[in-house]
Amino acid sequence: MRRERPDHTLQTTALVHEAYLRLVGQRNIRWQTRIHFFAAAAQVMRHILVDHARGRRRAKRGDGMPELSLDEAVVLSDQRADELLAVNDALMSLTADDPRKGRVFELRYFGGMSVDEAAEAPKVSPATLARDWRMAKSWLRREMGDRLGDGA
Amino acid sequence: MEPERWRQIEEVFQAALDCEPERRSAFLDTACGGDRSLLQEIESLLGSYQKGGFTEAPAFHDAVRLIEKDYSVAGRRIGPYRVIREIGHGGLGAVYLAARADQAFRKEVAIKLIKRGLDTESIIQRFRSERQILASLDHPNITRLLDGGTTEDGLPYFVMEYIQGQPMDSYCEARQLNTVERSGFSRGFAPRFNTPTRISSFTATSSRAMSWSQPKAFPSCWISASPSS
Repeated sequence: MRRERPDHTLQTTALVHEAYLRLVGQRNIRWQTRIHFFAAAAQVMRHILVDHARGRRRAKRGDGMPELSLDEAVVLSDQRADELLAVNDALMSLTADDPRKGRVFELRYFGGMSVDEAAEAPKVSPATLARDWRMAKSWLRREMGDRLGDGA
Repeated sequence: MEPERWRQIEEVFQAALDCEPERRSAFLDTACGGDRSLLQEIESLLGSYQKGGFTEAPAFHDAVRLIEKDYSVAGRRIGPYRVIREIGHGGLGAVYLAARADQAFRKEVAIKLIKRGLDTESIIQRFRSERQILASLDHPNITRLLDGGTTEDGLPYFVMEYIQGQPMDSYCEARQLNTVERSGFSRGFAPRFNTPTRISSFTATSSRAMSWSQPKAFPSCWISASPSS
């Protein structure tokens, strides 16, 4: 699929959404398969959120179209949407400096995995992963505080 | 950041967390030596470690809610319409059957909406051009564009008249058309036509074209099951 046109990547994303929903909660799948799947899913989750948050910004900015709103409860508040975009940016900086920590953070924060589950993906011990996690989250929290100016 | 500096920061940070809280300050003085900026860096990291913060609410749950919302559309309101059910979906978006929500009058419509997660600039551009094509076509054999807009989360949509049609491939299947006949059909319906010849061949079939995406993305377009003339 990788060498085909970009549409296919998009369709793959859509398929992963659907597959993910079916897989959540099914814990008796072989580890090797499951963990690779969750690593990919964490990336997808991140993209969904970032795209959604960007969409919100676009809608706020206005794009010349009449603005008709959905009268349902909003899934993400404006504040949360801004926070997610800031996390995404900060995470890109962290990943540039330390790819493994970036991956661990992505698995935990966007993929919803526990330390033990996440340790399977970068093939490190849970102890090392716990250390990666505490460094990554401390660094990102501080970075977010600087970026959002509210000690997030 | 310099890799060497990053390693140094992490080493001291981890060791500081590992040592007893009452010994931490003495440890930091020794470990940082006279390096004031290193000490400040570690102290601010330790501060944010202890303070907690945004990481306590993983974004995973937000993503799941977003996905679920996309999959439970019945009852969702888009502009003055309420969604009844999904009619069909393609790679980029879905078409929903919807009705006026305000009881002003009874009117069923089809609403086409981009799928969340696929709303990149280029896709949105493509969606808008489909909407524009539809808006500029006025013919009894072409579904009319009734309305359009943008949802509050920035997804463009458009509202068309609702026609109970059937997909072109099942239409061809039902009539057992051979490959040549099918490709003739496809050419007639292929939304890329922009010459009078093609439009007339399309009109001659007395069906209504409903999807105007690029043929390479949507190989089968939709036509009305019952001839309109």
